[in-house]
Amino acid sequence: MEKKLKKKLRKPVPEKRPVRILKLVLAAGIAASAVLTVYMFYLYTGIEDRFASRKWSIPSTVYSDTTLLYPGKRINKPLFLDKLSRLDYRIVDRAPAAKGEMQLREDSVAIFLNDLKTPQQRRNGFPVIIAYDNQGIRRITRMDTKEDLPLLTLEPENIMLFFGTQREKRQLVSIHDVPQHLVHAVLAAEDQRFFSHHGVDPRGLLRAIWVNLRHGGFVQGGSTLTQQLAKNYFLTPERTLTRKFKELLIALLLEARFQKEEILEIYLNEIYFGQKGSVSINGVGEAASFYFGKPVSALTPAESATLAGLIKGPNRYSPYINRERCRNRRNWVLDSMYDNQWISAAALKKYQAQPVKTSGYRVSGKKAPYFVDYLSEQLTTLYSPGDLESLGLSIYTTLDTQVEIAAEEALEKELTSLEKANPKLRRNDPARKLQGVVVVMQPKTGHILAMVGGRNYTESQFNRAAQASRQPGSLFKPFVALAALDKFTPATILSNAPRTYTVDNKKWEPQNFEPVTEFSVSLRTAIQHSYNRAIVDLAMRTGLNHILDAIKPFGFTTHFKPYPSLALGSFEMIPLELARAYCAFAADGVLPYPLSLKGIMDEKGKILEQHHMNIERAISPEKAFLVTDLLRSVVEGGTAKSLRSKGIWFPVAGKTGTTNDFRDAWFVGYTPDVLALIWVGFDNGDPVYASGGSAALPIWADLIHAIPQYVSDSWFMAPPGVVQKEICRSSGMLAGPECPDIIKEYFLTGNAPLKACTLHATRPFIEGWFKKIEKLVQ
Amino acid sequence: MVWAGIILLASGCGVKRPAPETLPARMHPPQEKQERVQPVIPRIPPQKPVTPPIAVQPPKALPSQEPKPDARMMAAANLVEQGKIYLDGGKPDQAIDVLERALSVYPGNGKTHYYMAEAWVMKKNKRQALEFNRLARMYLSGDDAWRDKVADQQKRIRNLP
Repeated sequence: MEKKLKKKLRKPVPEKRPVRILKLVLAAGIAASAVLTVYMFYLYTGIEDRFASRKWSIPSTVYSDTTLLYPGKRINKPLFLDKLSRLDYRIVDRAPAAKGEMQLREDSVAIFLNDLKTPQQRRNGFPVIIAYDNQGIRRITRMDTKEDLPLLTLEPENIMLFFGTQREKRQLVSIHDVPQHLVHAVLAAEDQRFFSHHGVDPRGLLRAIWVNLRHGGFVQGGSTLTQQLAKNYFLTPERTLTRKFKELLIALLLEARFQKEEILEIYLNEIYFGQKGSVSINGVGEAASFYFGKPVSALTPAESATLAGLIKGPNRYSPYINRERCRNRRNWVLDSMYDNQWISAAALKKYQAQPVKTSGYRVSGKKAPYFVDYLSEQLTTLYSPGDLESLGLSIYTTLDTQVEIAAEEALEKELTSLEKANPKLRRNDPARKLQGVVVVMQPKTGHILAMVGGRNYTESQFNRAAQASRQPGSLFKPFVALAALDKFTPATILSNAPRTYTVDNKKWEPQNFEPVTEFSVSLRTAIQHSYNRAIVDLAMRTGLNHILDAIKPFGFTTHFKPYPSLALGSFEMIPLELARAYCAFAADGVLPYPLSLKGIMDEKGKILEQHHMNIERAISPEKAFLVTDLLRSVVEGGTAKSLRSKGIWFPVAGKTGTTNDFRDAWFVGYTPDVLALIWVGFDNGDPVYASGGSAALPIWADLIHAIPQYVSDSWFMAPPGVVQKEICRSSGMLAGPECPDIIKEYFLTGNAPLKACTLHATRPFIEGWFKKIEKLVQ
Repeated sequence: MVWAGIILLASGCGVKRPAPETLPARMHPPQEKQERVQPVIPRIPPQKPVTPPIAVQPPKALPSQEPKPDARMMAAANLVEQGKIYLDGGKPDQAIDVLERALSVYPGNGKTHYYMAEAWVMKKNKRQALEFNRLARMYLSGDDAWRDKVADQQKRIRNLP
């Protein structure tokens, strides 16, 4: 009996089933809690890293150059008014009374200037009248003191913000600047119980489920603002249970970590409000500007309700797409505001009766995207991407947005026109489309005023202006002429006859672009008409190694070799380097550094970087002047003479370029004030079936017409080492009275002709015989 | 008589060589350049540019030929004055910024180059100062009042360490 009892005691007593389950559940719960805690800690650190840093960091802003105005300055009126609009001056129908307002009048514009703050200049805004006529600005008068101003500087234009990996343009607003009715409208539309829940709203969720069940589909979302923010910030847009679970956790953590006002401020600056061309509209600041042309603080309650209504479906409810649908949605938001007692019945009636008025759709892409890319490359050598996103730097550039817009428009217009005229140029694949480059610089300072590295940045981000290597063709010929000026003159006679050269045991015979009968031409004529044979003759007589030495100071990155085809631009070059090199011809032989960045200030206004123009002498001013004068004759009567028929009335130096099989079409034109380089071609080298004169030159003409502020009839002065002589056109020697065709030609003082023409001077010939006879007689 | 005959021949009756009977064949229908009369050239084939070279028409208004002051020049002059004020205040960076603006408004102003050189002297950048002084010398070579100033500036720059 005792044994039996012991045996029984030794046997384990089986647990009751519910206790075991409870233990298992408890263990599982503890394990799950541990995992969840670890996971939430992981999420929390993510939030700290991304959300908090983004919340309190200030993105760096890129600005254009300031705009100098003075009486007598030529302006393109539409582009000028457009500039004011881009500077966020809003039109009012009375005299401007506050900063940022402008009134358009018949022959003037009254502006209450915004404050100006750049590394070099600071001034408070004041009211001013800018009077203009068809010629340009007539007078600038301060409205408060009636004082006439000789100069006026307009503030720089905001180009973009370094905000995340994608550069965006958005106007950040403080929660304190957001009107109460906008907050109410957004809450009414999206999350009425925002201030009562803790990130997740079970009541709202149940209501949404009920509404959706009743309608048999997705009608109402149950996400709170915090959940939406969590989704936008951290998660992908797919609808899965896992993502929803993560969204809930992040929302709870956000609410635990941040104040309601902070969450609301970030939400209002983050939420997507539609599309403006290739740029997305994010945040109420940018949306207020895009849809109503005003700052957030100036929105009316009806406009606030319209914006709030857009959040659910920015493109579906956009007033630019369907005004009626937008109005219905706005009225629904207003109803909801009334239901929440945020507006009165009278206000509801009043606002619902109002039509939806917008400021007018303005398609716009990223501003000067290729220029900004070029700038960014330089900036990243100074600052890390993280610093650019968070330090709140103000980055001032040389960009002139009026020139940039004119360049973009001219390029697109002429490329479209080329495609229209020649179906062979059309491509369905955007990646294979006809492309172009426009680089606009100020020769003296090296400031890059505009840079268009392609036709459409959205389709192709490859910056052909700074990254492409293309054969320059005849654009290289002025550098051959430059090298030749040590030995020869513009009047030197060159052989334009067919000739075969041997290169690496291979025969090479340069051909002229068109058959010509003039087998002897002057250097000037060779450049003027871009005669290949004559230029190769010049190159061979000058010496190919001498040419390579002469172009060294230009700092080209191309590895040239002393082949005769060098003279015809057979080595690939970078468009920006070519533009810069041509600047030396336009700037007394001084090679400027191509400047895009002018200065950087920190958020307290301390200057961190300052970049000035930097010059170095590449060639003598005398040679620069002679090359410029040669290039002026290209426009006056050579391959670029069609510029005159395009209304270019002022003196211009220019050079066309066309490469083998019409793969590249070029034109460079300059005055003392501005230089623009144009390239047209296909990325894959397909032919454009047009010369530089017919494909690239019209773009230059269009561009220059659009920027009259850079046009003057001034020309380069002949420097002291240059003389002008009357010469016989045929012999290139000093003209005598019997020479039938006398021209004036510029020479370097050192190699101006000293001997009189021997072709037409009969008297010396006879006198010579006379002396011989006299000797014989003696 | 013999002498008289020779003198007569020498002074007025120089005989030119006849034009070649066959001119080079034209490859194109006559255009502007074909309309021109071919010069009579004994030793080299005929040649002509399409239009008279630009040198026949001297440049309209060279800055050295005392151009009439226009709006750009006046604006640039105003900017140069501002630049001087910055220089007097010992602010070369601000001065350079304003003078750069003056150069972009009117690149042909020698005084802008002179003051630019002054600003670089103040910043102790000898190389840039010399470059701008060289340009000032070129632009102001015809100005008696400024020539000496520019020469003095050059001496000062050369003495910079």
